[in-house]
Amino acid sequence: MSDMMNRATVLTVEDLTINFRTINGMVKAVRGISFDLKRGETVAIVGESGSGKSVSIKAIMGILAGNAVVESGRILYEGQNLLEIGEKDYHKIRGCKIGLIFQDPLSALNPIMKIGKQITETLKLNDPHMSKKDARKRAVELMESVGIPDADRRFDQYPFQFSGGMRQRIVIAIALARDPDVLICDEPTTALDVTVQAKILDLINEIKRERNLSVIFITHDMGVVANMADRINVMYAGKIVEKGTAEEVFFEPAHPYTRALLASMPDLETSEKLMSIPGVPPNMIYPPKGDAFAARNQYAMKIDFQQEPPFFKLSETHYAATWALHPNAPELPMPEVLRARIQRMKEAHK
Amino acid sequence: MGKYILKRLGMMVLTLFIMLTLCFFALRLMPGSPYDSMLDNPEMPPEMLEAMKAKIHLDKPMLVQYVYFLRGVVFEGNWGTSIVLRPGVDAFTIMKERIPASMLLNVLSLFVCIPLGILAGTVCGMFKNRLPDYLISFMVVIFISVPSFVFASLMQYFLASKAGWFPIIYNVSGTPTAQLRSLVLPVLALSFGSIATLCRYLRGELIETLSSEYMLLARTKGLKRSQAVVRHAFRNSMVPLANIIIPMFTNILGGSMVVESIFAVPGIGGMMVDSITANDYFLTIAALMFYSVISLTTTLIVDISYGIIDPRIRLGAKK
Repeated sequence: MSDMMNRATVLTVEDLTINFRTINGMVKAVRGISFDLKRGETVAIVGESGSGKSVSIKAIMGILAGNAVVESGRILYEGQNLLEIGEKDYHKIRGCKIGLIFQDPLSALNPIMKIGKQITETLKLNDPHMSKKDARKRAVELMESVGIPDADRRFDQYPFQFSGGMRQRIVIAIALARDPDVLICDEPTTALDVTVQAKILDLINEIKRERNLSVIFITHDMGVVANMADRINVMYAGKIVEKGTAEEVFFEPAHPYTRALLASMPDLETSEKLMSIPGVPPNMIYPPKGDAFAARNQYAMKIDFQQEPPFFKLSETHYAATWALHPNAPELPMPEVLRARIQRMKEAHK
Repeated sequence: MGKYILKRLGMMVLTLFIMLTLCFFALRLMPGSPYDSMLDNPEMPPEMLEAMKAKIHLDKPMLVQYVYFLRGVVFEGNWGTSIVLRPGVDAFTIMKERIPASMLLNVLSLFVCIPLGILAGTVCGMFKNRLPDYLISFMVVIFISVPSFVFASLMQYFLASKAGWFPIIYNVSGTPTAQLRSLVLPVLALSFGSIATLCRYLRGELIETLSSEYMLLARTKGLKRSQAVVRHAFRNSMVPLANIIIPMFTNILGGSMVVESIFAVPGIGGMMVDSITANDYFLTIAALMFYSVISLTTTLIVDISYGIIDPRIRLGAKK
């Protein structure tokens, strides 16, 4: 893992703040998040629905909805701030340098356009003079590389003739068509059957290795992250609350929210009742003062409701924003179930 | 598909037969007779009247008349003759003379309303909830709710009679340009409603496709916004549109019945209204059947076109 630290940084997000204008008021979707992506690594952003994960990556792709307001922050890619470049320059980055895999492959493909056309259309953006025959050949190769059997025949079919998993493979093929060096996966397996999920995750890992891609992986599923990520950012209510390498976050979770997420993972080993996180995420029009998770945290202290916790450093790579790490705070008790689970995960890891 | 079309054609023939029967008896049940005006004429000998009736079997019981009529239609293609409006002239011949003017009016109106409707709908969809959308949508409400003959009368009064920009009625014998000029007002009157329908429909479709996930995917591929809109949103919005445009033809045809009368266009609509008031049985039936055939054909085309335009239906049906 130490060599990971020395790799070149591909993408940096600094202090990104995004609000949405709505009839009820400003929704503070993303509240000053920072993270970076190094060449060849997978960074996961984990959090429940509405925590601002998808909004952040839409900002990176420059496809935020019309009512979004970027309040502050920078997104640095190859020395340019993506938030400042014009729509014209964005075309040289979107799709070309940064590819995106969508959450729902069922609605991400144009239902009345042939699969092949949707891929060749992308190929032709790179090389407008590409002949029809060459484009078809390239597209079929791409389809084969993402594991579509009988690709030449499938080329002329429509999305409705593909299963969900196959459609996700096509979406991946489209994302790869222009040879990007960053691949963003927005919950790529959420809409798929569990059996198909594993295959798609394997595929993403495989193409990442082959093409030396840097991957940002968005998910709400800790179980999925375990096999994918080198580093993990845990997001809650528009903020990153804990960040560290996968081992650190899984084996030494420090933030109560990270612990709650780990405790609520389904597990075949124990016969205990599946734990859930009590309460609901806060209303982001009026984000709570202090630690946003305090209201759902049974160990919350007084200060959690009053003052926002800064990041406390646990190691060179591991940080968590919780008052529980303050030297004066009592030690946060670790539930027995979670302790046992982490122990098992550690053993499995060795 | 072939089997389906054959089945539909069979159903169409059956429907037409029922229509024909209903028209025949309904017209006979109306008060008055084609000979009302002749009965008032004291110089008309009763024997002559009887002879005239006997010639076209009007002296026989209604059911017998029906059999005669049906036999003529099915075996000889004989739709009977006009009695009042143009006595003695074959109804089918009159129809043939009248159809071109009606068709010209309708086709011209389609040519006007399809591009304008699509343009207006696109503007509304692209500028959703902004000034251009509000302006056009306001007009759309007016155009949809006010019937075409109201526009026809208003335009005839203000643009033709008061301002004198256009002839008041249709110019049958003038040069082609003069004829076209006299058709401007009736065509416009017929087009407003259809423009509004098209615009409203396309606006909805566009807004839906523009906010779809595949539009986002098209953007993230690196397509320019304009490219993505044309290739993905626009094309997809057009699919259901085809099924609006074809029945529009029938709608315009319906509206043209009154508009033709207002502008004295020598088409079928005006003639049908006249023939009904005059109890000109056979002519009315011929006109009614013409409208029935047109509307049944357009519905058939719509149903078939669903399958041709949308690959999900076209290919799904093969399995």
